Parts: sequence; structure tokens; C-alpha cells
Amino acid sequence: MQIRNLTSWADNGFKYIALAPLIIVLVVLVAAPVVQLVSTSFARTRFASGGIEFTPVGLANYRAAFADQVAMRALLNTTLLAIISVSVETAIAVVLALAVGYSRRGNILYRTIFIFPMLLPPIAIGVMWLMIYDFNYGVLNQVLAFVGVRGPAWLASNYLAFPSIIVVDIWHWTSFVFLIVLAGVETLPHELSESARIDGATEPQIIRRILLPLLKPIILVAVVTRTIFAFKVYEQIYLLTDGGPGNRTEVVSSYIMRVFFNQNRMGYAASLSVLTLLFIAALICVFYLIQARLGRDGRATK
Amino acid sequence: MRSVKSVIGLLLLLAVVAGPAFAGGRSEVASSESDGHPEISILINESPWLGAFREIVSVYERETGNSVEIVGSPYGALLTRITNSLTAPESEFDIVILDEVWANQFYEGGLVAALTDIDPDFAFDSGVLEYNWVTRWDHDLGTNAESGTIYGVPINGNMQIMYYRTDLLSEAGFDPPQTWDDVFEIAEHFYDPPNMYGMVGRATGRPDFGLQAVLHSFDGYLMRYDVDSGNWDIGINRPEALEALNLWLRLVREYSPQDYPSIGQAQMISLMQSGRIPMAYTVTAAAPNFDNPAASAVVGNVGATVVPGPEPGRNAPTTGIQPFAIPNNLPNERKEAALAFLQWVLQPDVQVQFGRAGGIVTRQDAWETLAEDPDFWWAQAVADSTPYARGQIRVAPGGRIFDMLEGLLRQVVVGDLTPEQTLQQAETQIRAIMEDEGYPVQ
Repeated sequence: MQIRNLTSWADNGFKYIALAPLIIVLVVLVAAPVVQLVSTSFARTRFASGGIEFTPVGLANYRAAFADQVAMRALLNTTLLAIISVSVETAIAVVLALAVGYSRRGNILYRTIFIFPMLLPPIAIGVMWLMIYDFNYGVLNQVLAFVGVRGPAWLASNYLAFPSIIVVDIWHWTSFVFLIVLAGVETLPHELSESARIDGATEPQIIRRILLPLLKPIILVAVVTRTIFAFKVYEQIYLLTDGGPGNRTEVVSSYIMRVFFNQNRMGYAASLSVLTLLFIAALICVFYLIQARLGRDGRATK
Repeated sequence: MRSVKSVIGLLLLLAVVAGPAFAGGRSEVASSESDGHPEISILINESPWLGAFREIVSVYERETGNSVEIVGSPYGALLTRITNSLTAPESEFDIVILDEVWANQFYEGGLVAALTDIDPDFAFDSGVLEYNWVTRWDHDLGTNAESGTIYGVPINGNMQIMYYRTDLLSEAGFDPPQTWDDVFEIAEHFYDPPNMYGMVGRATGRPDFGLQAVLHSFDGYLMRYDVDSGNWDIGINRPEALEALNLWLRLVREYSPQDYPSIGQAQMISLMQSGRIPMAYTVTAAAPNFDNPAASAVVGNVGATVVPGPEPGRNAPTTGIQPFAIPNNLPNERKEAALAFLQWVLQPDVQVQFGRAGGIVTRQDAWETLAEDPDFWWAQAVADSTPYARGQIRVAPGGRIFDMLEGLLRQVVVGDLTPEQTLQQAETQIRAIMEDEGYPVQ
């Protein structure tokens, strides 16, 4: 009995000892910077005595963040950009993934073409779209001029700047969602759709009743990952509009960057970063709650 | 087997002997021909005058035998790299280029060395332009002042000048604009969209830089130190500031292309190069762009004058000076090597050489020498502008104030705020920032 207990303890102990190096690496690489970020968010920083001086200020940075109209506008813009872009990208990506996944010819060619935008560096994408949108010399306005239409100032218009940014984001990131969903499509058993077809189901019925429910978990993974990325958008905003006109395209990342470096307010920038982190975490929780509810409803229907 | 061992042994010997020669790291030992200083590394922004700077650095290397490594950085990444370097245990660079707008926080925080701490006898000679004491910092007053300690050397003497098309103005019978009324008259005459516009202003990417030339020409001010009370006076919400803001909005919007809210310095230069505007006021460093046949359609047809004012003589071009400073987190030997270079680069003949290569010099005598050469058609305008030059905000939280102002100005340009709301908000926020940073405000 005692020997069995000792063996069981050794087994359990070994489990923790084996995991220890990984846990230590995770704590050092992930937790430590986050702890530093959080502690900085409760401080005010300034250059003094040849270094950076930290003074504790309690919740002052957080109170300032909620009263900061530009920060709130940046959060709203980022959330809108994430919701609109990710929704449209997901819809397009699912259609493309199903089409490519079930196409009999040119599968590899389509796949290469559709993932191409994802391979380009964001700065190159920014420059490319800047040349497309430019009011005086841009391709878009030259094409419009060719058909007798005077093109607008895409990136300087109060009404068009934000939609123009969303178009770039969709162009850039649809391929990412496409790639994930395509991987899901390729793992689906073909027998299910074939037997449904034999039973007389139409193609839209097969997609709606069989393929989409099976793809739901992988689509959710793509949506969550893409939403996190959408909150990090920076390069294309920096290159295309720099947050303007006014602050219509100001996003969280560009504002934090300005606060941190231009304004030299590290503590306040840290508090904005922590709030963004919490906001994204809350959003992901909502996604998983929706998924759980959809799962329950699905089982109840069956 | 023996021959393999011999080859490996030979390779190891070669690596030991030749390794240091190929190593990419800093050479701490001066070359036998140098005047005794170790190699220095300079962080500088990649700008049109970087080529000119490289030229004079190679002259320095030839003359002294000292080695200099130039590290170029896009302007947008400069502040990040400087902050990282100055707050590290030891700076990566021996000289860093700063910007008038945010240099003061590094002076105030002791992150760059006082030049008189390296060499107690260091002083500027009378020919050096100090641009309202841009590199001197008075820790008691919290601003740039003659009484301040010298923390750097002005290397890029950028200042606004008014560029205009000599051919177009001459054909239409206009003299170079001297007043804001002249500017609007010329703009009205040439405005013929979409082929030609009358005038553009810097509406984004530090729009306050353009506004300040107008504001100061109306005797307005953002803030100033009141010697009598010992307090700072916030002047941005005064009537003259409102008059200046309204005029600046006309400059930015009235005779501009439809995309005026997104026009920054680069777009202004580009519109001038393409011949689509008859004039614009921007930095001196833009001048060589108009002479570049590969990029400009107006080569030989651009002139320059002092930035206009409400009437002749009431001019107030704004400076955008970039000083060189020496990090404080360096061993003395490297600080001395850096200072030796800074002293060399300020010499009159070196400055003229720098100017001829395309640099924006920081000596009045160098501008006057360059003005004698027709190739430097902008030099006389700069020499004429220096007596009127006005500095930007000269307090430690300058970067914070400018960032706030940029946000407000971008909103007033697109009509999200009225001019009155803009100035009221600017006053409230400047007051809050100054008080937050410990400045006495009246």
C-alpha cells in the first residue's frame, strides 16, 4: 500500500517537475512584462537625474483615460473597425474557402492568389493603397477621371476616410481568415455531403445544414484571432491617414504610441494599454459565451 | 587526418589574427593616424540633407584620422531610438540628433551631457546662430534662456521661408509676397482647380508649425514667461490668436486642393515641385527639392523670401532647429571624442562646405557667403529671416503640448470645432499640462 502511494506521489511529482521549466519560461517571458506594464500604469514617469523616475499616482491614469475624449474616440473607432472588418472578412473568407475547398481544378492556384495579401508587409500595403487613394495622382481617381467623374479626397474626407481604411483592412486580412477556414473545410468528411446529396438535399441546404455547423468551431477560432489582430491595427493608419481627418481614424495603437513617445507619458500609455487588454479579453469572453449558447441551442434543437 | 588538423589549425589562427579586423563592433582603439579619439557613432534622421552631412563627415575623417559611423533613422522612429539609447545603462550612440520640440525634456532630465561639463571652456563664437538659445536650458526657469547651460550644438538650422514661382509671379506682374494680403491676392489670381491651386498649408503632421508663423506675426503667443510675476502667461485664447487662427484656416483651406486636411510638409513640397501651386511657406531644407530635375518640374523657377506678416517688417518665421547632443550615459573618453567632432563641425569653413553640399547651416556668416552664389537662391532669404526667427514652445512638456495642439488643429480644419472652441480648449489644456508639470501659471 505504502509502495503504491509512493509510486503515485512520484508520478504526480514528476508531472510538476517536468512542467516546471516551461512554467518558469512562461512566467519570465509573458507574466513579467505584463506585471511591469500594470505597475507602470499606476505611476507617473518623467526623465530625471539621468534616468526615468516613477512616482505612484494610484488610479489617476485610469481616471484620466475615462475622461480622455480622444482615447474614447480611438477605442470606438477600433471597435467599429474590428466589428465591420472581421464580419465582412469572415463572410468573404467562408465563401472563398468553400469554393476553393470543393473546386476540382486550380485549387493550389486559387489558394496562392487568395493568400497573397497576407504575405505583404503592412508598410508595403500602406504605401500601395496610398498610391491608389491619392487625391491628385492616385490610380482610383485617375480611373474615375477617365470615365468623366471627379474623384473625392478618399483619405481626407470626413465621410470616406474611415470606410477607405476598412477596405484596406479587408483586402489585407481576408486571406488570413480564408486560410484558417480552408484548413477546416479540407478536414470535413466528404461522405456527409455526398450522402445528403443522395438523399436529395440541395447545395444551399448542404452548406447551411451540414458544412457551416461543422465549420462553426474553426470559424470562431478565426474570428477571435482576427479580432485580436484588428485591435492592433497601426501601420496602415499611420501611413494612410495618421488618425485624421480630425480624429476620425484614430485607433488605440496609434494613440498609445503618441502618448508614449510624443507626449512622454509612459504611465498613462501603460494604463491605456491595460484597458485595451481588458477590453479585448472581455470581447473574447463574449465570443465564447455566444459559442456556448449556440452549442446548447443546437443540442436542444436536436 | 594530419592535413585536416593542419587546415583547421590554420583557419583558427587566421580567425584569431584577422577576426578583429572584420568584426562589426566599435573599435575602441584609435587608428595610428587619428588625433587620438575613439570611433564615434552618430544617430541622425534620414532627410534630404543627410548626403551633405555624410560629405562633411568624410572630410572630418580625412582631416583628423578619426572614424565616424553614421546611423540613419526615419524621422518617425527617431524619438523612440533616442529614448531607448539615453535611458540604457550605456548609450549606443555618441551623438544623437534632437528636435527643438522635444529636446528640452532630455536637457531637463539630465539625459544629455552639459557641454561645459566635458570641456569647461566650451562656448559658441559670435557667428553661431543660437536661435533664441535653443540648446541652452535654464533649470530654474524651466525654459531656454541665455542664462542656461549649453546642452547641444545646433546642426540643422531649419527655418520657414516663403517659396514662390519666379516665372509665374513675374508674368502676372506680382512682386514676391510680403504681407498676408499679398498672399491671398496671388492665390486668388492663380486659383484654377484642379489644374492649379492658389496656396496650401500644413494641415497635418505638426500643423501648429505653420500656425505659429501667423500667430507670432500678429504678436500673439502660445505662452510666455512673465519676468515680473515669475509666472507663465497662456496667450492662446487672446483676440490676436483668434485673428491668426482664422487667417491660417483660410491659408489651409480656401485656395487648396480638396484633400487639404491630409496635406503635410511632404505634400506641400510635392505640389510645389509639380508646379500646381505658385507659393508655399515651409522649411529651408525643402529648397534643394525644387532644383532636382528628376523630381521637379520647376527647376530654376523658384525663389524665396521671408515668410510674410500682416505688414512688412512684422514677420515671424518659425524655427525647426535640430541640435546635436551627447548622451550623458557615456564614458568620458567617448564624450570628449563626440565634443571634438561638434567643435569641428561649427567652424566657419566647414559650415560653408556643409552648405554647399546641401546642408542647412547654423552660422550667419555661412549663410551670407552662400548667398553670394546664385546656386543657393534661398540663402539670402534665410539670412534675411534670422533676425525675425521665433522659436517654438520652449518648455519641458513641449512634446505633450504640441501633440495636444495637433489634435485640436486637425479638428478645426475639418470643422469639428469652431476656432473659438479650439482656442478655449487649447488654453484649458495648456494650463493643465503646465500645472501638471509644476510650472507656475498665472
